[in-house]
Amino acid sequence: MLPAKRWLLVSLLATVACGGPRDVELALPVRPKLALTGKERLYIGPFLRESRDDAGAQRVTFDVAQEFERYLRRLLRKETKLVLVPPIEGLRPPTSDPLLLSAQREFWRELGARTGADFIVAGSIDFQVQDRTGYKTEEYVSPLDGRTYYRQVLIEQTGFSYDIMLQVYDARSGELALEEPLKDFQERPERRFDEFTGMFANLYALENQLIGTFVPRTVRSKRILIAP
Amino acid sequence: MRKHLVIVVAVALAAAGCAGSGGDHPSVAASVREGLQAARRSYWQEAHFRFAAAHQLQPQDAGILNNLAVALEALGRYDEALETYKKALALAPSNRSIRRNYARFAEFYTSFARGAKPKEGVGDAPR
Repeated sequence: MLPAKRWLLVSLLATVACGGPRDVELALPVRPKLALTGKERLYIGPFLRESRDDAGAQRVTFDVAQEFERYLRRLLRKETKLVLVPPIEGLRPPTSDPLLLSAQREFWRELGARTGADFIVAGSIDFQVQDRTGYKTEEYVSPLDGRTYYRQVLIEQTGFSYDIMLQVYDARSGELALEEPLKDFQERPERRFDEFTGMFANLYALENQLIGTFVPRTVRSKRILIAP
Repeated sequence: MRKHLVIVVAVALAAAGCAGSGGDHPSVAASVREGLQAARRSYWQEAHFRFAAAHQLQPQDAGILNNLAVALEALGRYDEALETYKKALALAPSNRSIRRNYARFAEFYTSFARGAKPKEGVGDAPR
């Protein structure tokens, strides 16, 4: 028998004799960020769209705040037993400055009294579509002389950044109960990639974190058991 | 003949080398094996019972302590799991499996402890 084959057999037998470590998967609970019974009445909105005039940022042709409200409402209806209060048409945020939102206690308290909600989920959103197309330096080994050269290559890319400051207000007092920053960045290898699809790629990536704010979840995690 | 001898010696050495998890005492090894079988079927209460029995007989075995900690974690007894992982690590600080388990547990436990405690009427039961 060849030495390599012999060692393979020996190590195989040794593994069988030893048993070795074994992987098991545990389902572990993740507590929500907000202490709820799960049956509270929630009012979703209003969300404030932060506007920045950065170079490279493109204009978005749809209402980002409204789309997020609609998305969050659908997500919470599907994934939780929380009672969602019907939205009030034309309700606008009390200020255009995201830093002043939490100071508007009277507005949140009045909104709570008007809707009968226990909590109000609001906040600010910064969504940006960026044309990240540009030239990048790339290493290139010539097949002719075997030498390394550097060349400029045009990379077409669109970047989508989604930044939410999710705020939950106690609707009775108007006090801020929770503030949770959520961020995501997605890149698509195409110039002028559809902005709507890009935004939903961001939102799907944030879905778990969004749900995790309100209800408990489970995560699966591997552990190793040591066999005799 | 010589070839067979090499194989027999190698297997014997391997078996002796991995005696870190209940190999010294026949009933310890049996308890650990039964615990592993129960764990594979996710019968964690049973697995815990078997690992705890093995631990009683061989308290200085890091492998058994590791298995016991995993069972405690699966049963949601996180504070006890933390203590047990620590004991296992103290006995075998260079054991990669225990270190990896402890690191994963610590990551989970930190985020779990940071979460909101459930209000009356809801347990920690996940959706």
